[in-house]
Amino acid sequence: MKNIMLYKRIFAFFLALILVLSLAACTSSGASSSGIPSSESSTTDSSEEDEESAVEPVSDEVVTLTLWEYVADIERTAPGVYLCVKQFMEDHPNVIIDMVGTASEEHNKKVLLASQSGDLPDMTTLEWSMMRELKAEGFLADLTDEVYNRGIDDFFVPGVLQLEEDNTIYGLPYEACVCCYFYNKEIFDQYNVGYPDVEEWNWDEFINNCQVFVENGVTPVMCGGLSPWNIGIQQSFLVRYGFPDYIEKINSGEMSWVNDDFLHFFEKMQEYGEKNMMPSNVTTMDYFQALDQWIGGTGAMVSSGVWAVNQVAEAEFADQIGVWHGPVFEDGVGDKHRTVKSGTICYGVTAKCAEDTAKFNAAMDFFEFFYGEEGTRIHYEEGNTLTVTKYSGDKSKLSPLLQNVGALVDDDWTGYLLCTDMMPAGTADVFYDAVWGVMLGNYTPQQAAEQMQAEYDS
Amino acid sequence: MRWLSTIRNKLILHIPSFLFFTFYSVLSVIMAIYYSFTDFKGLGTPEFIGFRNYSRIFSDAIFLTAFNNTLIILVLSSVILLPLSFAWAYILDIPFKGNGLVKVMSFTPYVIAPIIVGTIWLFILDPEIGLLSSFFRAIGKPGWIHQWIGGDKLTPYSVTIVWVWQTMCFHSTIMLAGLKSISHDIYEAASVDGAGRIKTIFFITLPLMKETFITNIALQITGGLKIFEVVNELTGGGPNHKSETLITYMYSITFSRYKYGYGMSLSVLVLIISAVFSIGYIKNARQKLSD
Repeated sequence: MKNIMLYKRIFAFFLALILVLSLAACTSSGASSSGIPSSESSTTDSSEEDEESAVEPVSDEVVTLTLWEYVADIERTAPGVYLCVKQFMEDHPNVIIDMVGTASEEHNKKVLLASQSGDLPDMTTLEWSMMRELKAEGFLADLTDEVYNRGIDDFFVPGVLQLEEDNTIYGLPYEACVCCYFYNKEIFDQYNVGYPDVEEWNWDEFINNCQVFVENGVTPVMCGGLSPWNIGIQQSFLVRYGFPDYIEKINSGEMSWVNDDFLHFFEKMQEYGEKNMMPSNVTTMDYFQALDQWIGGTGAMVSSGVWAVNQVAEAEFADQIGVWHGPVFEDGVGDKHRTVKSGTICYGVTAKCAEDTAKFNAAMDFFEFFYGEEGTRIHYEEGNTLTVTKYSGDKSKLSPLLQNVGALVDDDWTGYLLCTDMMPAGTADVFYDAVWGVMLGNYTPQQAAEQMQAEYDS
Repeated sequence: MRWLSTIRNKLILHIPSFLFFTFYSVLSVIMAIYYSFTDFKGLGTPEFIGFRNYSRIFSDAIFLTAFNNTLIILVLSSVILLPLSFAWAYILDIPFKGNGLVKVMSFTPYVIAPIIVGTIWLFILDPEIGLLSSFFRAIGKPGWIHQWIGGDKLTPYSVTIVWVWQTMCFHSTIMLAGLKSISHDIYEAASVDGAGRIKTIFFITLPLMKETFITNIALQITGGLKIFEVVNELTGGGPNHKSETLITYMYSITFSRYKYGYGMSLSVLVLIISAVFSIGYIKNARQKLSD
């Protein structure tokens, strides 16, 4: 009897221990600690890759940095970053960079929650608007001196390095962002439709020519409504309707969203939906599904951007892919040849990292490598992706697709930030809702503009 | 077992659960109530704004849409779920070969992660590429295809179907426990008196299972009010918030638009609605029982 009692007590003790340990596991560091239901997060500990080529640290002082990326599958979706980190760690055996990828929809939420709980990583990708919010609260490090002293500013193509109002630098541009249509020349040839970039279509020509596809059961533009941000090309349209010219006045309250130019923009979006330019199941498909379907041969064009060149190259018709800024507008504002062409989002270094000199130096060493000649070469030649830095290699040796896309980045169209990067944090969601609402016929152009203004007023 | 039955030891053993509940449940609710009276945006210091968030709720058209959708799901699922789960429990109560395996297999939908459930049903209900639409095309009835999800009207009803599919087994399990608790002597006595199967169900089984039904309805109300993953995966609350439920809208406001204060006021309102519905229903039902 006494033995049974003893066994019961021991059993109860171990059960209690398991409960406590499982609670401790729930609060361990990493992507799960934020408590956000991240359905697409993965942790890639690059220090465990390539064990055969790993080099033992030459000094006892090993510096570990955490880097949060805004894509779930870093190796596939941001190969340039993945390869740069891998190469950097090989060159710097005493530095370990833990990369954590989270789908873009969840990344911002994760960063926000981490800032509240003090769990921000050492380096992270950030939307420009979020960067400014974090900077205002003191969560980010001032990179100005390091950028200039190390000559990192010289690596960038002109116009992409963003300075704050006081000429400080808190965010380094992440990757080239040119929103564009990729189009399948085989489908265009099949229906005898000319190439839009060659013929420089205006809006009416765009809509009318695409009706040929509609009449033949081909979706003109693949896009995914479950990814509300999949309206990058529409943001380029808004740029052509004067957004960069007006945004300062709108942010300060001097000008309203309900103005003629923006109403014209929303009217075009209404026409976009009414003319069946999108798939019939656009509301139940996300961007990645839309892109995968287009790569599989569905649809004449896909609404995407130059960041997708590596995935687009997987298509069987990769050598028959054209790229296009989208149509020009006869009733637009200013220069017709203006578009979103900038460094999308940015890298920030947290103030927490900057408190540790060794970590901060390692982080800046990484960025010096990442944006420098070797990092740029890795992006272009191994990652098959474009950067916002100057590439000194022979571009003719790159794939034809990458050359075409690169030409889009380097052409003489005037580049601006994404419209949502110029809006206050949190407003982007309302903008996406407004544009999709008009395209899907749920809002009128007037209602969409008023919704934006109401958000600003609140 | 005397050492376990002392009050002191009982209290000590309860401490971990109590701490866990206090930290993760009670404290979270208190923090939510606090933020609901502020204009907190996720960063910086929250500023107290009184009841402004609450006064905004009832003029918010999207909230009213979300409330309407949630009500549709709740009412419909009550009408469908309770009879269905009772019927299934009744069948499972019949001894037959393989009964145990059927019980286990029927519980499968409930153990699948809700996000996976949403993804599975997305590929069934998608109006273009979904299994249902493909089936109608295959049998030559393309006219039967509707915008099951992603449209203006049918999404709450589709969500109800998915919700019932996912939770029926859970409610059946509770119903089955209720069925098992009824003594067979009563059925024997009824049978001796000449009562058939139908009369037995309506005049003996159902009355004796009233407590079980009360429990099921209360669980169904609280579960229905917090539907999130299924809606999030099927439609993301779209298009343009037309398929939002209370929780998906709260999530969107809080984490996508960074309006933590307003989002917390929505969550407090959901808490109050949930408490009023479930506690009110249980009290009322139990009072009728005792009468």
